[in-house]
Amino acid sequence: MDELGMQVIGAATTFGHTDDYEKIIERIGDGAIVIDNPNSVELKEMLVKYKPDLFISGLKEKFLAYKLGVPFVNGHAYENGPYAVYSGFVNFARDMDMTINHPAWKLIEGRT
Amino acid sequence: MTQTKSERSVTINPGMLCQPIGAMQAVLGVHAAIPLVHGSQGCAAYPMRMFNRHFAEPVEIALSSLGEDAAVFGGADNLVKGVHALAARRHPELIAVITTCLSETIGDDIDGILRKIDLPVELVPMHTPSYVGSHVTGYDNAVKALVAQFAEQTGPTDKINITVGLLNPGDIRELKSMLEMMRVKANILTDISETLDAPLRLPRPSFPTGGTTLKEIADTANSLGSIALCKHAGGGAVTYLANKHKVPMILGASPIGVANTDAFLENVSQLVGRPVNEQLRRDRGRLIDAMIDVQFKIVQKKVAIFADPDVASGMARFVHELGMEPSIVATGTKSKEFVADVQAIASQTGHEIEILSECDLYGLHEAVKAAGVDLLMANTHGKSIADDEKIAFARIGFPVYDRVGYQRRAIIGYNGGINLVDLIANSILEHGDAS
Repeated sequence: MDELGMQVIGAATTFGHTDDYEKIIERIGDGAIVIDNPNSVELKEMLVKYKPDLFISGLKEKFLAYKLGVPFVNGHAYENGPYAVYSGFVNFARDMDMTINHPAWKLIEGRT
Repeated sequence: MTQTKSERSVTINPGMLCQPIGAMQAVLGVHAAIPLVHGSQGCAAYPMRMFNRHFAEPVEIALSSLGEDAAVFGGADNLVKGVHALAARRHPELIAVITTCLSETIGDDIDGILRKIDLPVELVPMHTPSYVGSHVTGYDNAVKALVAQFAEQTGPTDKINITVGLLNPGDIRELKSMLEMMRVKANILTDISETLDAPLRLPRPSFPTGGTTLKEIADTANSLGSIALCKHAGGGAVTYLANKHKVPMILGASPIGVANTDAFLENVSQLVGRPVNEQLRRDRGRLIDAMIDVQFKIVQKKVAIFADPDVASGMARFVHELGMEPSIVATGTKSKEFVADVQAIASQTGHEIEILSECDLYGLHEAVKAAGVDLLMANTHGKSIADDEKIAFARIGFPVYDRVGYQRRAIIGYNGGINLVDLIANSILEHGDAS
């Protein structure tokens, strides 16, 4: 995300251990939120409160993000992957660009 | 030929899901209700994933999250804490506690535990052990639990009750449109037409709008009559209302195709004392027009149908009406009634039908191979069978996730019939193009 000039405002995992969180905290910027094993109620609160430009997670979170008007990329199973290695990173960046700039988001009634 | 049980001692690629997922779908059709699954993680995670993919919607399913400790010492603590947390965080009007194989085997006294909880939310226990029946049984048990707990006689109304079964939002919209044309008011159990097909508008309400209200469930005891669209999934509630509250009941065929929809509308008409209206007759004519138009493209093709019992038997009759041959009619759920229903269709229509109850996907594949059918109608899991046998494939049932839009399109009623005509004819035409 840093390399693309994007700012990470929150990170969470379901099964992360202490060493995973050490890595996350080392890489994430000051003021960001780190949550362990959030449920959908908590994710919804985060998406509504912090209004991120993009949410990256898995299938179970995808339609929640959509229903809240938040652009989303499935980082687990990929949208149009693979996302690994250099060529995959191009796919990943393209998918993020496509969802963030999708014209339909602007049509949603009440989206600010 | 009828084969009701496989001679194999193992199931290969199950053709059914377990009870809790059916109960969850029933609860998701109740306004501001949350299913709380009393079981372990996967009992909620995988059904959620299936709902997400089929309906393309977020769903909220809570879980008491039983682990090793609970499996040994009982899950009461988890359940009580879960109910309190859920009530505090989400303020639902109803929490339906859905049991699983684990909690039923532990033997937690769910009813007793829930009775002791004092919270401003309705709690209803739903017993859905996964080792009995299928998702169809689970749906049936859930709707029955809802009416058993809430139905209350307060004076007769001019409404009717309709239990839907495991159908799609598009089916319920078609149902409502038919009832509206006949100016019939109905308690629909349960109504997923908006809760599992919600508009994208902001701000998003705390709970999706729509769904069956608790008031409507209470009112089911006062109706002119009850009709189960799928008697295997909803028939239990309809029977309960007849026995307990003397609400006349009708357990007919699912309104799929011309004759079955005619019978359904005739039943509605009898209950409310008003004739089937002109607009519906026009829709009927449009369906028959569509059937006649495509006749040479589909006539005499051999069809294998694999779906939930009532959808499969309804579809068998419709396939006959289309001039096609229902060669195999199969369901994953074990049901003698299903076998009898399809046998009746076979003797009335003169078709030789292989009837498979409690059928797994391996058994379905073997049967398709042996019968040499032209078209397979099944959920997404049938795709690989159709590909292997190089036959046409039309998607029906749950789950369908390898194509979009199926949750929005009705298969019931005259308009649902038109959708099916297009679906069947186009899948045969597309198969012809490809081969």
